Amino acid sequence: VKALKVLEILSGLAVGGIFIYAAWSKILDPGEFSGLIGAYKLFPRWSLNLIAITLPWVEMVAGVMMVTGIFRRPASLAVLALCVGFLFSLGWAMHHGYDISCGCFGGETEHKVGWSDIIRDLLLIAGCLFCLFAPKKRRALV
Amino acid sequence: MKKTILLALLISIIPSLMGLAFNAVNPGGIPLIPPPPPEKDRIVDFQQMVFIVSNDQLTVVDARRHQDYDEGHIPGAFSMPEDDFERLYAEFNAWVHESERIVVYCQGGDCESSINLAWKLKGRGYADIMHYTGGFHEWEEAGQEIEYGPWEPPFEDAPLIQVDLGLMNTMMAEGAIAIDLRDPVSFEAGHIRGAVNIPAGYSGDPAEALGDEVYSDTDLLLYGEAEDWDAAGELANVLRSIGFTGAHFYPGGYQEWEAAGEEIETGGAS
Repeated sequence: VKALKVLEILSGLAVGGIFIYAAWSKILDPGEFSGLIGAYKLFPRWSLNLIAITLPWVEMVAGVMMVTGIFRRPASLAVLALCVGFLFSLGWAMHHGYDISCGCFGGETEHKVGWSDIIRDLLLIAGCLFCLFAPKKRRALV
Repeated sequence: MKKTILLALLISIIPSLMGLAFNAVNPGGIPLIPPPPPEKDRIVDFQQMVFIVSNDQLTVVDARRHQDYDEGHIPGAFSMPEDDFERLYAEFNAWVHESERIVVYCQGGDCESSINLAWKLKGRGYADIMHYTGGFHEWEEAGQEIEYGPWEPPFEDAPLIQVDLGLMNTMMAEGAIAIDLRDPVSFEAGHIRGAVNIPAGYSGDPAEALGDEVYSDTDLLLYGEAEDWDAAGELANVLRSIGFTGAHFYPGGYQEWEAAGEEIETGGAS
């Protein structure tokens, strides 16, 4: 159980850390992020800015919670939902053969969406599932 | 489990509200609903753009990121990315009058940043904004001339922004000061109402000639007899170098002004 607990904390640190990093550049440049979402041609134009304004903040707060362990379980669930959404979007873009950048970490990555993004997303999902279903401890988290 | 789901929902909703609040106060914030794409009659096509640029006709503004701008842009374009708008606006505003026609562009395709930029500029009173929707991509593909490097303030050899007779009147009503480049004798014989005389080759300190009523961002309307481009360009550079950023040029000059029956004054410096 102790080893599992350590693994849970490590997954939280990894997934949460990645989410905080990903959220940061998007928060700094919402206009660019809006354009990146638009390139997926998945959401109507009117909703793009709303997503670009709110999504990075959910990523940031949920990421911080996963790292610190405050409400890690519900935060993992929120992140899991996001990752499933990302997986669908990535699949959509690859299925249509769009030559677009992932936008996962804002605008600085140039490469086109591909399997590496899918694999990273699946790893994140695994981390979330682990945090979500790791055995509960009865005492308060540190 | 129910509690977990409820908390997860809260973890989604509360930060979303934080994001909305942050966007409202963030100077680099974006509109909640994207501004509509430009109307057909607001679009500049490739041929028109080539003409505009080769004749240095209008102020062109690049809405892409600084990094993209540095790697190549349409010659003479002003760099104004969305996320740096607030910092650059003052300089832009000193250089370009609100009533002037502006052309904005971004990468091309479905790029949105020029639409957002136009929306921001509209909010500051720039009403006449055109969109070159082909964007930098089309410009580059067509093998048109490209300029590299960062935006440089127009201190030297900057294109002088032209104003016509109508704009002269508008700007003067808003507090712009006319500056007469002709010799003192012609000036005394008659000059544009309220003008200050700074003859070509003036050896004194232009700041002194302008007096205390002129601020660094006051719009200055340089004119000579007619079409005195060189004299105006020279003085504009001197003025910019000492911090006066609002120099414009009225190519019609005193000839056109007088012929149009606009208000003139005679006599020496008031």
